[in-house]
Amino acid sequence: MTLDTNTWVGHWPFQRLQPRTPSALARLLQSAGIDQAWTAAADAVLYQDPQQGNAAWLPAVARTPGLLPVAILDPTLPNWRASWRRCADDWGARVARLVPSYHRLDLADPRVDEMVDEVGAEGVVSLQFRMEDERRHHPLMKVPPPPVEAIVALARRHPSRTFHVASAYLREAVGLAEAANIVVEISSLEHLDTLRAVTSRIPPRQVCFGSFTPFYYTRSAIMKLRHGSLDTVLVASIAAGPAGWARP
Amino acid sequence: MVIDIHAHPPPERDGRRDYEGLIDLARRQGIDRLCMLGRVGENGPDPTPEQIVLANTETMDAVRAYPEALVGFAYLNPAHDPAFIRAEMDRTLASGTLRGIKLWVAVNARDARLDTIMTRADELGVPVLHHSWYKSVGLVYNESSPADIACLARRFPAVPIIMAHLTGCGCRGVADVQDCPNVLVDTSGSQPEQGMVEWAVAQLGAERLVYGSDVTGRDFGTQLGRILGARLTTRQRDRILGGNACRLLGLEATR
Repeated sequence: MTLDTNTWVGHWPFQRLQPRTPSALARLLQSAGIDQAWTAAADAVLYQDPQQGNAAWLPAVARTPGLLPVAILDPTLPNWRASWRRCADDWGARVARLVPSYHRLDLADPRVDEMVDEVGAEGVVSLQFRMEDERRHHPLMKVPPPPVEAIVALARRHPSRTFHVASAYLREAVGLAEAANIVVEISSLEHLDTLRAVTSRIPPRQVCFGSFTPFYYTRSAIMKLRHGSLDTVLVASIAAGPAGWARP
Repeated sequence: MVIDIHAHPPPERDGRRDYEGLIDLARRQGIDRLCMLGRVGENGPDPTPEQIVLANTETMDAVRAYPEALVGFAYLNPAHDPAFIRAEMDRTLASGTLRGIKLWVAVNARDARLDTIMTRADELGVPVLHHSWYKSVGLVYNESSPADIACLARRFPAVPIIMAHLTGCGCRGVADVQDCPNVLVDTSGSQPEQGMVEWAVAQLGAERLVYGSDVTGRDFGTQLGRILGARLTTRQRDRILGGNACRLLGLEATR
């Protein structure tokens, strides 16, 4: 069982994302040996109200076998609860993702805690650490990543919840893993013999699979799973992700 | 034959570098040969002559110890005295031990101080691999952009230049060197951003791309995934993975 916890559909202004449709994305992932994938709408990151992006893509994601909808939420918007209910009730989302840097979220804001309490009661709260390598940002749109400490503090305020963090680099992931209830995905973690290096620094139960398709080549993440020197049992547990994250 | 054109030595631990481990990891991924560019960066952006000699001696020792698995490039600093540069090129390249030159950020590629190196590279018939990047966060020391590399390539059209870091150079970088037929681009750099390899092939042709990982800061598999995951023909993929590098380095294209 391989669960990809970081895939996207839609449009991004700085990269021509392909495949563009949920069905084509599902075919690509299946051909790479990925059984299920959390899928978010890239458009939702930059729209003033991310629900516009959710509404544009999640209905089709929900209809596509193998894809599990991810709701992009901004808890500083007054309508975030209604957005979550629509994503969860109508499109089956069980994951809500915050994009702290692009939404300029202060993770100490009580509205973030409210969202974590409510969403966390029925699903997983995920945080997108970055969308692009900061060195390659458009010079007029530089978006620094959120402070690691702020995410760790958020996780520690909600010790009964498990948080998912996508697209962190290794040094950041090591800091994030200081909170035992944070699980990091591997798409942007890189080191010689990546999984062995990662699991020597982070407990394996806090590591899960993600490819960041279609921002990245799916094959790059698959190669980390299949061609490193880490024990195959550990690799399989990373590929499957924590219990309950995939659909039965 | 799969050749990684952009590799750095494993970190030193207890006085030795674990080349066996590095070669084993490469072989697990189907990589036949690694091109070692030396301990670039370990001595900062502007290494001394003594540090250059030590780095190149280490590379030559490694290549001699593992001739079936490793080839090597001489790391040079164009800011050094031309007489020293020529002597170091004779020691490392004219002997045939190393097969190319690595330049990093000590001097920008537009600087006339590169002339000694480029003129001798032309005489020896060896390629020059030059770091390059377009960054929106500021440059490292005298870091070169792809436009700087294009300027160098036009001044020395007979010298093959490998512009490092395709994804770091981006589409603008590909455009910068498009009309410089002596420039190839290595596929390392940044994250494995989807679509970049296909774009470069469409603009430059597969014969102008070479697979490179930039290990040990990166992982073989992640970087190979760019090539294996790209929408390419088998012929294009084979060229990028090793055919072009074989031709450039004068290696036989058999395992």
